[in-house]
Formats: sequence, structure tokens, C-alpha cells
Amino acid sequence: MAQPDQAQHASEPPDSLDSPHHDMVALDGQGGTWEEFIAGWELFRDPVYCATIAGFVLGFLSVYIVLKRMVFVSAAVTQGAGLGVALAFYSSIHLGIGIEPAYGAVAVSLAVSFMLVLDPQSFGLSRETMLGAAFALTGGAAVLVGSRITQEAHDIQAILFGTAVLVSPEDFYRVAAAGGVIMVFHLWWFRGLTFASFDPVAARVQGLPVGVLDSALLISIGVMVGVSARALGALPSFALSTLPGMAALLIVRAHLWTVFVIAATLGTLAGAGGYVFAFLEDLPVGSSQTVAAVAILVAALAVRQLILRLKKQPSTSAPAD
Amino acid sequence: MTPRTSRQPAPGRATSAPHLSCECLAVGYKGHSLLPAFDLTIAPGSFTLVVGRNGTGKSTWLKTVLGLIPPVSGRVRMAEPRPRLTYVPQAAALDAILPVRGRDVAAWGRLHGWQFLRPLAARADRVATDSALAEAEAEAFADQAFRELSGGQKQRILFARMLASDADVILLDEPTASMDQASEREAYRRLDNIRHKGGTAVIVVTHTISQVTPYADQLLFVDRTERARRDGEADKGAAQLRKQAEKPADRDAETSPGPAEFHSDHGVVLVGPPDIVCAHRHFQRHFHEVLPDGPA
Repeated sequence: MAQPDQAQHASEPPDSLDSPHHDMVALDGQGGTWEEFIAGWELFRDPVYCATIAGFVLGFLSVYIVLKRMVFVSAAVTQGAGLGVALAFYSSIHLGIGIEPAYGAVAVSLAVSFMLVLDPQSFGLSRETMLGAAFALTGGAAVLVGSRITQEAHDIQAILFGTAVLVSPEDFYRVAAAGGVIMVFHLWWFRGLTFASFDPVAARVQGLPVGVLDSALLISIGVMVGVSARALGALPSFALSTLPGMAALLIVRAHLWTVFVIAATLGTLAGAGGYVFAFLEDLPVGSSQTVAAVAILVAALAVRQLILRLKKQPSTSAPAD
Repeated sequence: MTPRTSRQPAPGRATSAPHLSCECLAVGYKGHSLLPAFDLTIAPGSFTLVVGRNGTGKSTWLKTVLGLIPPVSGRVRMAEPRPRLTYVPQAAALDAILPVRGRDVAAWGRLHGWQFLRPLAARADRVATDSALAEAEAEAFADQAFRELSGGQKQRILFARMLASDADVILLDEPTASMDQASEREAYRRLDNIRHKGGTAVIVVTHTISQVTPYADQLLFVDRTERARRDGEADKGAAQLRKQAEKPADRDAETSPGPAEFHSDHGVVLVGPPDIVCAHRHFQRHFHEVLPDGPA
């Protein structure tokens, strides 16, 4: 198991690592070129593939997150992933117990997911209250634990804001393996997951195991967000797990399958495109991926307005009888 | 109360075991009963009408039978093997931003239990969905976004889902709320056909009885409100139900003189075949025990 102190760039100052451009060219603030990007493909291949896979799978899952009104669940789970990484570092440094940060991220993400599976009404609380508590607890605790880990300050920053430029092979393989398994599972159970998610009462009446399906969905979100947050950072993971779904829902009105395909495609575009954009413009990677996802949402909004205008046009131009 | 004689049961009713039985079932929330406990048997081919004003507990009873909320006391016993159930909610139950076509909603009716483990719908399922859409006269708008359909069109799609489900028991909550009178009449006629053709049991919860009562062979009137007790509304409702139940479309008036009936004097009235008398005995025995505040 890799130790946190072996994590990539841990010994380098954070500011030199927040853009892929910095690894290839001099710090001239001018950004890189396509030629430089292609020349350094060997170096950038894994992070680009990683962002592509994470963007695709998180984009696919984002449809459930948006339609099930779980955007804040995603926020709490990504915060939990950040706390998991911080706890893994803390455990290695101060307790001498080596825990792989990615496993810490997945463990706390899953713990938050399971907490949200519980029926909060049995405690006299609403789901929003639980979400707020989980978000505040994980976010605050990540910063507190992070303040005690000066040696890994960059990794903590990377996990929270997504400033990591390169992805270790282990993190890449974890994202690829988790993404592959989750996609196979989701394609296999698609009919059950959609019915149970979007009409749970009818699904329960028809004998579908709604609790199992709900739990499976939350686990897949928890795992994917956990491994993605370790590899890309919590902020872009949150953006990729919410914004592509919103954008796809603006474009497509009636075909559920198409919404999932478009959301996954837009997630891929935001993940990989954000990385390339960060290289070309010499910008932090995670923020670029997040802004790319927001830009896609804005573009989708514009497309939606255009579609509405085109639909209205025939009726407004038709002569009055 | 003295039961009169039996009505002609729907096909399958006399020979088959009940799909589900409510045994001393008291429904409500947090241990507080909304209605007195009573028994009710849902036999194959039966048509049960649950009538009452808003807030009287009829939807709570339906949700308890569906297994969505636990009973305060008593139980709902399902036949073995478990009958297939399907539920037709009011159209508003589906999220307004859900990007699905009417056809997709109807196709969900084909999913029961763990059948979703088959990743693609079988050809037979697609044929059944198409056929159900045609029967519900919903083909024309089946490929439109569900959220953009009118209330009546949505209800037709939900009807198609119900038809596609091939269920043993159909439970409908205010199924014709968005329909005009002609569509409502047609919808109930279809339900009556379904139960006669396939022996499917139908349970309809509604607050309007004008269109549906002629088809019902088992009626449950619920209204425990102070006003209903004061005004004798339950008695009036029972009288109306009895009058209509004595003139069912499929009954021979000379051989089947009419239904049995029972008044609780506490806002619950059962009208139906003589076997309901068993329920009445239970009802009387358990009424005082189950209701925390006792009968009025």
C-alpha cells in the first residue's frame, strides 16, 4: 500500500503544481501550446484519461443526483472524501498507521452515503438537516485535520480544491476500475434503478427492492466520488457529479437514455477539456474543470433558450385567422 | 344489522382464494388510528370502492394495504405466491422535471420484483406496452414528454401502465381526478372489463361515487369526522351506496336481491357480499380495543 508521504509532489511547493503547464515549460505565465501538450502526452496521458473516465461516470451519475434532488448529497459526499484523505494522512503521520488516502476517501464517502440512507425522520429530523450536518462536519473536520498535517499541505489542498496536476498510476487504476464496475452495474440494473429512483412508490408496490436499489445507487456515488476526489480533487468531483446532469436536462426533455448519454459526454468534456484548458492557459486544473462544467451548463441554457425560441417562431409568425 | 343475500360474484371470485385480506386492520400514524379496525377481503375479480371525503383516512388505508406505511394494528395478509400489485396514483405523483416519454412510464408497468435484472425489455414486454397504450387510447401522445402532457393524457398513460402490468390487484387513488365525465365513465368501464376478463381485483379510492358505484361489489365508506357523525353523513352515504349497489349492471335483480351491509355508527360503513359479515363481527369486537379515543 502506498504511503501518503510517497504521494506525488508532496515535497514540492504547492504553487508550482497547480497547472499542468508548470511541469513542462518555464513559469512565464503565457500558458502552453498544443505542440507542447502533444510532446508531453506521455506525461499528461494518465491525468487526461483519468479526468475522462471520472467525468464520464460522474456525469452519468449526475442525472440521478439532479433528478433525485441530491445535489447537496453530492456536496456532502465530496466533502467526506476530502476528510477521508486528511484522516489517512493524519493517521500515517501522527498515529503511525499507514492508510492509502484513496481508501480513506472512499471509506468516509461511503460513511456519509450510508448516513444519508438512514431515515432521518425516525430521529425527528429532515433529510436537509442531516445533509447540512454532514456537510458542515466533514468540511470543518477536513480543515481542522489538515491544519495538523503540514507535511502534506499540498495534498490536502489538492484533494479539497483539485489542484493536482498529475495522477499517480494507482489513483488512475482505481478510477478506471471503479468507473468500469459502476458503469457495468448501472447499465445492467438501469431499468430497476430508474424506476425505483423516479417513481419509488409504484416501484415498491410492484415488488421492486427499492431499498436495495437506493443503497446501490448511493454506494456507487460514494465510491466514484471518493476515488475521483482523491485523483482530481473534491471541487471538480462535485462539479462533475452535478452540472453535466443539469445541462443534459436542459437540452433533452423526453428521452431518459439520451439524458444519461449526453450527461456522461458533457462530463467527459468538462473533465478532459478542463485539463487541456488549464494547460493551454496556465490555470489550476481543478478550477478549470469546474469552470468548464459551469460553462457547459451556461451553453446548455443558451441552447434551451434557442430551442424554445425556434419552437415559438412558427406560431408567432403565422397569420392570424 | 342483518345481511340479505349474496350478489353474483365476478368470475373467479367464488372459486379462488383471496389475493389479500385485511385482518383487524387499523390504519393511522404514530400509533393513532384514523379508523376503527375492520376486516376486508379482496378476492379475485372483485371491485372494491373506498369512498370518503378528503382527510378521512381512505388514502392512509390504501397506503397501508400497499405496504407503504405500517398498520397501527392488525395486518394485511397476501396470498402465496404473492399477487402482483400495481398502483395508479394521481398524475402529480411523478416529478415535473422527469425527462421521460409516456411510453417509458407505461413500460415501467412491466417491471415486477427482480425482473429488472434483465437489462433490456423482452419483445413480449414491448408488445404488451404497445397494446396497453392502444387500449388506453394513449398511443397518439405516447412518445411525447410525460411532463408536457395534460392531466387527462397523463392519467391515460398511467392507465396504460396499469394495463401493461398484468397485475392481480390494481389499486387506484382518485384515478379520474383529471378526467371529464365521459372519460371517467369510459375508464371505469375498462376497469370493469379487466376484472371480468382476467379476474383482476380492483380497488378504487375516490371521493366521488357517481360514476363508479354501479360497478362496485364491495363498498367501504369512511368518515369519522364530527360533522359526519352530527349530520349522519355516514348513514346518508350508506343509503346512497346501498341504493346504487342494489342496481348493479351485471346483476339479475330477481335472483340476487342485494348486498349485505354494516353500519358501525362511527363513520365506517361496509356494504358487500355476505362474507363481509365475518368482518362485521371482528369489527364490533375490536372496535373499542383498537381506537385509542374510543367510539364517539
